[in-house]
Amino acid sequence: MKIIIIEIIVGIIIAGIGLFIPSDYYSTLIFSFGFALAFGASIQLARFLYWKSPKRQEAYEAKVKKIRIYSNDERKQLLRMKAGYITYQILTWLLLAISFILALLHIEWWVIALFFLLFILSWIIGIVIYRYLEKTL
Amino acid sequence: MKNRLEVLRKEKGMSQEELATILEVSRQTISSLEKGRYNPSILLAFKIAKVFKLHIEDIFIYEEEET
Repeated sequence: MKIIIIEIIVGIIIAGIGLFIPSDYYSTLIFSFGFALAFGASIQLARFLYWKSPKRQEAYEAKVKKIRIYSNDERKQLLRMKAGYITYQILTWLLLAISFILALLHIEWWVIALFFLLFILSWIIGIVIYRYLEKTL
Repeated sequence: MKNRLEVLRKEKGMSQEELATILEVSRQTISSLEKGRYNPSILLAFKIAKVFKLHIEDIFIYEEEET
């Protein structure tokens, strides 16, 4: 609760600072960031107050229990891991495919290099994390 | 791996939802287990065995894969 209120205040302050910046570009950027922070936290606060109402106590407890079960359910954990693995595979090969297509289209070299670098980075991070997990499990 | 979970649950007159609540898993997990689509961890297998007061091998039937 305290964190949510702090987020709202910080968001309003950042949005306020954004309004006083002379550059249009940075003013919009900082205002949007502050507004998004305050708006997101306000929605969280509204949800918190809605579920904290005494008449919804029973429903709230059932909801919390359901969330806890769903997050600890071993089959769902396995499905989340599988989904993450498939997403990683798709994105990794997609980055390689994009850099190849961009090369065929004679796009500027640094754009191609950026996509290719992301492909290499994703591949290396995957190996590093795997090796780390191999040692810990 | 085959199992007798559905038969045992019905013998006890329990719904999937009730068994799921006792085991603290989702109803979908019970359904997957009963259909043999998902094999439980050893921890969940022990929990299931405890609920039915049986040994794990009385519920789960291990079949060696033919090569």
